[in-house]
Amino acid sequence: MIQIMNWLSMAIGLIPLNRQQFHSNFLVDYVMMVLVPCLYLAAYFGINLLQRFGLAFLDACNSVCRLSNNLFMHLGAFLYVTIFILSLYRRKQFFVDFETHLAEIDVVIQKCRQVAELDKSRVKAVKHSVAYHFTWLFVFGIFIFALYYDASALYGTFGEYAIIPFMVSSFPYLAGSIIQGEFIYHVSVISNRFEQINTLFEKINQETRRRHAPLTVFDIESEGKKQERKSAMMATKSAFGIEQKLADEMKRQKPPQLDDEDELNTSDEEDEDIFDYNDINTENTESTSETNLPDLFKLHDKILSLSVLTNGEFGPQCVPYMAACFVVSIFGIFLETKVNFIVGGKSRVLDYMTYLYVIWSFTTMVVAYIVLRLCCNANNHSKQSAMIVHEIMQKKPAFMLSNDLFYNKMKSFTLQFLHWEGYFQFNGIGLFALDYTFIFSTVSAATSYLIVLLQFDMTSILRSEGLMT
Amino acid sequence: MSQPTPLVQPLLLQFQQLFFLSKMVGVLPQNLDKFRYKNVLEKSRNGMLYMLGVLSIYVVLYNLLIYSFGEEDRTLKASQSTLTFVIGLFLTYIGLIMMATDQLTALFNQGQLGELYERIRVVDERLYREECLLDNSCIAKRIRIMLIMTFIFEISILVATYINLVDYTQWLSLLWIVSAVPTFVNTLDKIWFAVSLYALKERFEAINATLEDLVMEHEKYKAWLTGDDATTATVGNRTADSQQSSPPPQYDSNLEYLYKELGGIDTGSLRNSGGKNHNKVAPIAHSMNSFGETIPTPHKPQRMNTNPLINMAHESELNDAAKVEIKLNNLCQVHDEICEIGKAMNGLWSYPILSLMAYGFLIFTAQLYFLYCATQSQSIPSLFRSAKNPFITVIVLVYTSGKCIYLIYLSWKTSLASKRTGISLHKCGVVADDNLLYEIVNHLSLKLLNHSVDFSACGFFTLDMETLYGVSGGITSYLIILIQFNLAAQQAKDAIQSFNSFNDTAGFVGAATEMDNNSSTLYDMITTTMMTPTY
Amino acid sequence: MSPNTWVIEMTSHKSRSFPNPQRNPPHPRSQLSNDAFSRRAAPGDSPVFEDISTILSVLKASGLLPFYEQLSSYEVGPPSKTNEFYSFFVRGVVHALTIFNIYSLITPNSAQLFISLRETDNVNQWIELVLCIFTYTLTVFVCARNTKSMLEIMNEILKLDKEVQRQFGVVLGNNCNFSVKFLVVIVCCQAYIMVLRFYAVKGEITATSYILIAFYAFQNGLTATYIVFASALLRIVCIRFHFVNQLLNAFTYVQQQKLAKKSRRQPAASNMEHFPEESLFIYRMHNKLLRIYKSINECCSLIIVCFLGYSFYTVTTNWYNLFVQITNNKGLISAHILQWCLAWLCLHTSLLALLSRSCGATTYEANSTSQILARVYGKSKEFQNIIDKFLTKSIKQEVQFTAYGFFAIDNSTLFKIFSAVTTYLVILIQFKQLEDSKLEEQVQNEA
Repeated sequence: MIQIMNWLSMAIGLIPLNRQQFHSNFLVDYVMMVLVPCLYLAAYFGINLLQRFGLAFLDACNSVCRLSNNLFMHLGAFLYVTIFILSLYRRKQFFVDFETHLAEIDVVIQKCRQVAELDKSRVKAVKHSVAYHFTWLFVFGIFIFALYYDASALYGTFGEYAIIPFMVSSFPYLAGSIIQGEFIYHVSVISNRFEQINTLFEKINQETRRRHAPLTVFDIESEGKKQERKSAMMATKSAFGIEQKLADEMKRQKPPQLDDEDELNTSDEEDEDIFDYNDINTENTESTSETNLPDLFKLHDKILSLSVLTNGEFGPQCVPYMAACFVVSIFGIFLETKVNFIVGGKSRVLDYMTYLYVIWSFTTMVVAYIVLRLCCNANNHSKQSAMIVHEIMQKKPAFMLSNDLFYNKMKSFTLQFLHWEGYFQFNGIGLFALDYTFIFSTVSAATSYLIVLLQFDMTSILRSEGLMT
Repeated sequence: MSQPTPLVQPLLLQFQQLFFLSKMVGVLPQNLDKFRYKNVLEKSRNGMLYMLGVLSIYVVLYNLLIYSFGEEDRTLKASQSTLTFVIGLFLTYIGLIMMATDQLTALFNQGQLGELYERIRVVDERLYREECLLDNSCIAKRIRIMLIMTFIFEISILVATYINLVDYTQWLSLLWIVSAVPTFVNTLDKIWFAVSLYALKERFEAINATLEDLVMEHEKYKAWLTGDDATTATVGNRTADSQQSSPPPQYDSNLEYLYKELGGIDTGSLRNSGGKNHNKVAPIAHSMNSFGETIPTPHKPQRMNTNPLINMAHESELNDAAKVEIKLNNLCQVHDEICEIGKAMNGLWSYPILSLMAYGFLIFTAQLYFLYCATQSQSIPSLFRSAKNPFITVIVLVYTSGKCIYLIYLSWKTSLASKRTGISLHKCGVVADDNLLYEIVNHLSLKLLNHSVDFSACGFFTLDMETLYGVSGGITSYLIILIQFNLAAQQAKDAIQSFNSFNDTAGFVGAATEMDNNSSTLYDMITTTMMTPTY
Repeated sequence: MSPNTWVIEMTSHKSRSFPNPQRNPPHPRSQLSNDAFSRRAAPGDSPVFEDISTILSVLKASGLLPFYEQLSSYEVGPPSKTNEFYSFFVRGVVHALTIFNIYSLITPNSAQLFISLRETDNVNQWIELVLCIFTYTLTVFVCARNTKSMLEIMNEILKLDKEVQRQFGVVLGNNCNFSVKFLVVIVCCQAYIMVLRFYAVKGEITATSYILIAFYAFQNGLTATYIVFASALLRIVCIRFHFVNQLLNAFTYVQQQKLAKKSRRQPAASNMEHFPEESLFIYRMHNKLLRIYKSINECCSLIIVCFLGYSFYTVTTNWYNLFVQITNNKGLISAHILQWCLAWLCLHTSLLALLSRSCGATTYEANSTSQILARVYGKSKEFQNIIDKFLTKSIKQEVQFTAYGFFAIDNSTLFKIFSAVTTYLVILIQFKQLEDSKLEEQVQNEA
């Protein structure tokens, strides 16, 4: 499926050919990226300057139709030009970078999987779910329908010149959607890697759970020894005796405010002796997947960097697409309710325009929804890793207690994730976050605009066009 | 490295042209001679008087302009609804208000501005001591580009409007030049802010780059180490010796430090020359730069030469961690200091920014609305005559929104860069994989989480891209409302004609009971019918 | 108005030498930071909250606050029986009057109040009256319910002061002089409005109208006074937070460097050794302050929400009236309505500004504690752990003063309110034009 999309986007000149090879013929790579926009611009300026072949210049086209057609055309031009410039700016450097980073990540993941002995269960990861295929089919279906509708309607009107109006009506939206498709693909790859990391983290978590059972038994036994040990510790810390006391006092005074982190911090040293038993107990059965942790942390960091890269490339392209989607949807609803319900079937061209709006608003909305959904998923997956690590930390596994290094490492990871949270989220150049809150904000904005728009009194205009009596 | 000459060039050195220009126009009151010879901004009584004089001249001229061009608005007042007229009056003065805010704020802050740049200089010195070099020369370039852009925009708007839309047979029409003054003064003031903000962003990025460089160095070093003797740095080794807390990682970072120091000793900027060429043209003495640039290639061999030294000298373990700690501590403190400078800067410019944002919002909306009015061949306020021509409108819009958006974008980027530091710091910890270093990093990371630079306009709203999103929504909805009312008025005018020709009272009463829109058009119709005798 | 102007008074040396079993005597640093504090002899047994005593007595007299007993200079006790009864009595009277008011509002008794020509204006005024009554009644109810917690808050603050006094030998001033000024403004505005209303009524004024107008002014004044009181409490908390921050500030690296420069000669007299104990005290104080802050929020937030709604409505309608008056084409600008609107606007705008500023300042101070602590660089592990603990605690712990959880109140609230007012103003003016057109149409039809 993705292959088809890639071919398509190469064919209409949105991504360079041979995008994964660094050294290839420059001319061949970019030939499509020059030809198609030239074709588009020729069609656009041809229609606007020569005043021919455009829908707006037909006799059957009334003022409402002309306005909506012009809006559709110029909006499409805005969308296509911005997207194309950004794609040209991206060139294939990004794809090469992305693939190399991905390859690095995959190598490390593979290594980690071997350590974690997850190799056997690898088979099922390749198989996609039914929903995945269904989504692809659905998206392809609506795109083919939209294109077919537009093409057939235009062919009926213009005959063999239909390609010219087609280039300015449907093509920009198609191109924009395909770029969003690329974005979807990249985000889904990232999301997938996050998921893999999460399974690895989960594996460690499972192991600690398994090994946690004997720990509690020894916990009770070692109570006495712990006291001893504690007093010894106090003795060694005689230099800082005052501080210790004060710290204890402090603990007493703000028990409700202490959060988990704190608790861990303090109980950490108290439990220090437990691992002696534990270590002896489980040394043989212990599988060593926690050695993955540093690698996994690095991986997480790398994948996040990769998402920053991807977002930096595709985020700006999201903005015009979302804007176009918003405008087309609002006008689609407006035309449908205020024009088509009243005078539907009177004028063929007007109907065509209305349906075009409706079809493309639906299509772009579906694509935008998928983008938002995947970005949200990727965000959630990355958040989940931090959650799992926290869970591991709370279970106080043996490897953590035995070695301060692991504790500090995990703490460092969670802290770093806090920084990441403040720093990065999938967004359109900071204007809006790409998650479900965006849907809410656009819907609320759309409602208020619609209320204003629906108050427009169309009857007199329609009457003057002779559509209504 | 401690020479009697100052370690770093002050940032203000790059501001020469901008300062002279803004001094001349009356944006800044500070002392000219002191700036020329010592590159410091100092209070000056004469400058203050000059500035006040300039400000009053501007105010007088602007009022004269409004008065002389207001002749055409007399009829407009009668024909328009009161709301539109009041808004128009407010819009004519917002530019003046903005300019006055800028100049008065500059007057009040004249002492603190100098302190701000002094603090930046101190930060630069500290950064230099941490071998974190940054390039101020591009700031001068930036200033030049921005000045040129300003001139192009201002002059193109002024000339195009003057030629196309002003009646230049009268000599009073020369007053039209004054209409460009407020925006020009404002832009100069904002260039100061933008460039200083950019400088802060660069400093943040320099800190990040230093941290990332540490990571890179260490990674390279590790790669070399594993190539050399694979036994030391393998992963499996670590769990085996859990009793001794962790000798191998300490060993690693120890070596890293030593290597770093060795790299740092012989040439200050040698380390940077390999990876990042653009990063090393420094605010330091120029001999250093040329030296660094001439020998980019010996970098690798030298690293190989240091290896025996490293192997010999790895007994100073504690010393190593302490050194790294000091360095990270210092970077963290510098980060905090830059954050504080950012806050202080935001405080100094908070009122000008607020007025700029208000101006941007109003002018953007007004210009688009008047453009619409002009396309419907309605009369518009004389000061907004540039809206009669769509191309001039586009230039005006790009200029106004460019100013606002650039500031917002820059503050957003700056606060992102400051947040990035924490991530880079953690990378250091992860790559070294040393217990002691982890503790340091965790501690500092908590500190960094509490450093914040948020740029806001007087605390009313933060300057980030989300605000821009909200503002663009606001502009659109206001435009729609305005245009809708305009349309209603337009329909009313059409209705008058039909009303006059048919004079059918029955239809009149019937229409009055229709929906709101109709009655509002009716209202407009009635008012306009009553107004028609007046003109 | 800025929180930097607070005053910390030094106690006399006698009270300082008071034997202190647990604590070390105040170390030299506290003297060092005393330069900014104006010295004044310690008041012997002065009433607590001296600064806001005027406003307190007003609120006490109107039954919104209890007549608490002062047990010592650092503790207040519950009110005595008679005083409690007095409060009950006052509240009862207020409720009776309220019921009477509502009754007259829905019957034609109050027709004299609605003098305006236009229907919309009358409806506006009616809604305004109802809102005012609602706000005040709610204030009385909430105050009656929160009597105990209000006393607790006061006691907590006083306890804190006592501890500060014992530890550092400083008495924290409150610097709430603004409360008196605001009280004067409120009284003036309300009296002025009352007089204006009396003049505006045509013909003989009935007793009902007198009562209605007077009670209306009374309600408005007391609600406003309560808001000022809440701001004063916030200011008190803000000053405490600021004190904590000042204490911490002495340990930051910037101050340390300055200190090191100053005492280059002497053997590094770093005050960092005091840090653990001081920080302990500071954390505790900060936590207590946070708790006080939260309980103030709980006590006042419902009233504040109501007040914000009421004042939003009033500001909008008054701006609208003002606008209508100014742009009146017929040339009959009524000076009476103009003054009236200006008085209302002045009162409500200043109150809104006061509230949002004091909330904003307190929130800022509370949140900046962790930021200042982040600037403390401890040399040893112990210090770092102490710092870490606090910083970890305060991750994502944004302190905010919320309006009953609906939204946070700070400077941006002011901005939001005024942008909303603008939007509504535009819409209202359009409606006014509609109404005008209908009126004129009727006139034309009759002619």
